[in-house]
Amino acid sequence: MHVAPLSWIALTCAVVAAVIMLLYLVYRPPLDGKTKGFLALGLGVLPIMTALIGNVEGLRATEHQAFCGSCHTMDLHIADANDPDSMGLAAIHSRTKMFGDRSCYVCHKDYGMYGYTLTKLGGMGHVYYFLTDFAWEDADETLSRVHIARPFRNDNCMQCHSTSGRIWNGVPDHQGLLEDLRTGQTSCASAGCHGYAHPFSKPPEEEASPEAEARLGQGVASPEGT
Amino acid sequence: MKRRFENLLDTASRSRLLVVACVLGLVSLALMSWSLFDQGWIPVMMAMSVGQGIGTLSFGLFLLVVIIDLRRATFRPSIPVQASRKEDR
Repeated sequence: MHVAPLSWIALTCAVVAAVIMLLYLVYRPPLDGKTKGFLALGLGVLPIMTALIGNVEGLRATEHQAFCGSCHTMDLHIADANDPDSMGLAAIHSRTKMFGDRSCYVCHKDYGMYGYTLTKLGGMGHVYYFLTDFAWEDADETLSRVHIARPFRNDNCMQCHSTSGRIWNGVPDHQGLLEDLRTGQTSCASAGCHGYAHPFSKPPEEEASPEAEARLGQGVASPEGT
Repeated sequence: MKRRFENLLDTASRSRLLVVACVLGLVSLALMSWSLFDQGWIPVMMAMSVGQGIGTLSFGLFLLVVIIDLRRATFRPSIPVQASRKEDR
């Protein structure tokens, strides 16, 4: 259990507000100006502070793996992302500091102008599907049915891999498919290229080809110069 | 609807409203504080929806008490009417 520093302020506000309310409930003082002033603090100002800080901390929490992994349907995805032996894209990226504990969010968030809001709305869709469909099944049972809502966008990869670096463009496949990659017609995270982000979740016939595996093994996926 | 609200303002017990407001406030604080310790999806979503909804209701009841007080209060002018007339002359 980790409590963020800002949360301690929220918690202090909550405790003081709770003490004010409990004192009123126990002693029931006459409703004069002083009592109402204290109640304005206990029922208004301090809970609003708690709520505001709670919102900040809550929204920050939604960016972490612990939040995404709190649905059991994501157990296997999180385990794979944190597996030091896994060579899936999710695991490779999660091992870097830029992604780390926030890898789910950094890869899957919407980078558009209203990206934050749209990402959160998408998350509400996940909650809906979880509550109406997946909640009562084991992670293994749901694995074959859990899928991404929209095809993964190369735009998200291109937040880091600009597709304009010399080393990146030195790869023949990148050169040949440059426009397709930039427009998203060919997915970076496909079986013939860098493989799926969560390969364990795909049926065997969809796994990466031996050629693609060999390319990955040679370190072509190295991010330097991208 | 408006008449029912006015009837509520005339007849409601302020202390009872405040007791309800305090109980709701404690429930909402508990929900909001839970999410500070456990940042799974259930506590976070409960805090940001149910917790804040109940908290808003609690604060609304307090404001209702304030409105009732203002309606029942008798306001006296700060300057006595007689004195001000004398000054005008």
